[in-house]
Amino acid sequence: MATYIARRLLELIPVLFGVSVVVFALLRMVPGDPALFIAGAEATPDVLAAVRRQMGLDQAIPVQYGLWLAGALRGDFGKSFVNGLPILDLVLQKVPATVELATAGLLFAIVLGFPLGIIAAKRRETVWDYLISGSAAMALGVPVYLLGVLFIAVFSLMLGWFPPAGRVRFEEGVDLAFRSLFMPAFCLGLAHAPILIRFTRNSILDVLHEDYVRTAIAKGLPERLVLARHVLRNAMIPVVTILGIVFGRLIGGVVITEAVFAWPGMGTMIIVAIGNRDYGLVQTSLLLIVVVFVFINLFIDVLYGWLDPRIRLGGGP
Amino acid sequence: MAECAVQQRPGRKPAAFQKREANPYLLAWRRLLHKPAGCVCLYVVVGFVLLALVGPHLAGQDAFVMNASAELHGPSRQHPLGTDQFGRDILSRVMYGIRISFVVALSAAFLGAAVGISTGIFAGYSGAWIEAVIMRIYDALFAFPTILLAIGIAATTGPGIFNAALALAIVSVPQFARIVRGGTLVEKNKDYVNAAICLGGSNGRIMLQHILPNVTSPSLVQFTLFMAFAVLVESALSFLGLGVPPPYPSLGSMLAEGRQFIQKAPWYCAAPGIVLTLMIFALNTLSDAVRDVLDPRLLR
Repeated sequence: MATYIARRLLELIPVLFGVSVVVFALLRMVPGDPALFIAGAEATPDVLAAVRRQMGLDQAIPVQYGLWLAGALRGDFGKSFVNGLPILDLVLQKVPATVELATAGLLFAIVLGFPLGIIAAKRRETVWDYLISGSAAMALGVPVYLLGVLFIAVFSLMLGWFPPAGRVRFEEGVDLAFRSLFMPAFCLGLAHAPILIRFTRNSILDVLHEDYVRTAIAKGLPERLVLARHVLRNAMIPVVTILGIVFGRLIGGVVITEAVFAWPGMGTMIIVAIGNRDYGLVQTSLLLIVVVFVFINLFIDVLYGWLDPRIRLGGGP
Repeated sequence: MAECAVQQRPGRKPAAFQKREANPYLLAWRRLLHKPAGCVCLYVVVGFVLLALVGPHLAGQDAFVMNASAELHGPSRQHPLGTDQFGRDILSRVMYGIRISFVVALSAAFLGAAVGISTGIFAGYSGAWIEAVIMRIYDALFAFPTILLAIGIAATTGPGIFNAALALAIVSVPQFARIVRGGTLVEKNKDYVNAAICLGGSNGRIMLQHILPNVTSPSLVQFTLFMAFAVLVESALSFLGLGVPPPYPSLGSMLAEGRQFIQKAPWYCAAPGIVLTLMIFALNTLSDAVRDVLDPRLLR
């Protein structure tokens, strides 16, 4: 297992290097001269040259990349164009709100997705299956922000059950915090549950055709026991991998959901920073999110390898 | 024996027709038309394409003309879906929004597929360091959550129809390249490729004439799947103000504007919301059906 983890970690190095190049390239793709943007349109050539020197823009592109990467590895991402505060501090301040929303959204997706997927598979080709699979296919077409707009209209503005926007911290009152978290998290969960429903259903149906399931049924085990002991245990292994995909989509969804519900996390910060043309802040947030995402995928791969020895030993699918 | 059986079969079709029947894509197309879900969704998508082409003319109103005396009017005979905060006809704007969605999604899918398929075949066929370099670049792009990468690129290039399509195309390139490279790795060791090499075929000819036709069917599935994704992400970018800039109507930006008036004018959000959901649903279901009918196990 240790060798498998070490191999996977080594494979991450080129990916992370590539990610840093992409993020750096995004920063440099911005049209116009960043120095002109900072110094202002009326700046004299001397001032512009000084700003360029200060920002390292007078160096060759590979040197600029090297300096930027060295800073990033030390945790120095520079300062915000807008308020002059260190970018890393600004980003880290927003992390708890985003993690809270993403975790709650993932929980909702799992709580909705797994049981409904299991019911659809167990009662395949019945009204239940058609109802669940049909709704899941339809829900897959509903953008997360449309759900958000609908939820706000119905549950906040019409019924007044939940606040329409904003976040209350758990330290300020558990009840209020739950109420402010519920709608964005549920919305996020609902938008991502269909993938889990579909995958769980298909995975269980695949396992149901396996010989060991037929044997278990043939020797007279009750259906419930066969499902719990033989089917679910094996069907859940591939479902673990789909969690990685769901998490990737969820991260994108979080950014949009935060914007809809004015949730003060990284997503809202990114959108505001784009509006302010504070590109350093945007790229740093992107870089941190992608690095976390890459490591979560690694964790899921390792978990998959642990659950299914064929994977880590290289003999499996 | 088999020859005998074929000869005895009555009512054989002319030879030219038989040849066409053997085309796997024609067979797949027929199978698609026989699948109820696939067939219905195909008609829905074709309907949307027609609306995108002629809808703005059919609506009878200009999608851009403002009318201060008709702000946020409800559905009426003159404006079947009501008007927006500037008195513009929502039906015309939805039709125009469908057109923009398709233009962005199709151009992104074509651009992404062209770059992804060509580099994917090139990487898979060349092997060695060329493959390593190309695929590592794509691995890095693949490491990004897709919507986030699109947001990052759109933020850098700024709002615009072309920029939105470009952002989506960049996101799609690694997806096409990975699929095609995988197929190329399998195909390049097959006998027909070896035969072409022995006959002195150039690398370009082998890639273009021999390998490409054999690796396109998974790309076709990816193409329809990506169309649904592109419509979704374009609307999300426009919703966030990073996609199609005003005054052009996009379904996403209409939803963003409409939500401010959701209590006063619920019809404003309803029309683009329903159209968008139906479009993505139809494209998703169509891509599922295309995947089923192009399954190689069924083709042979």
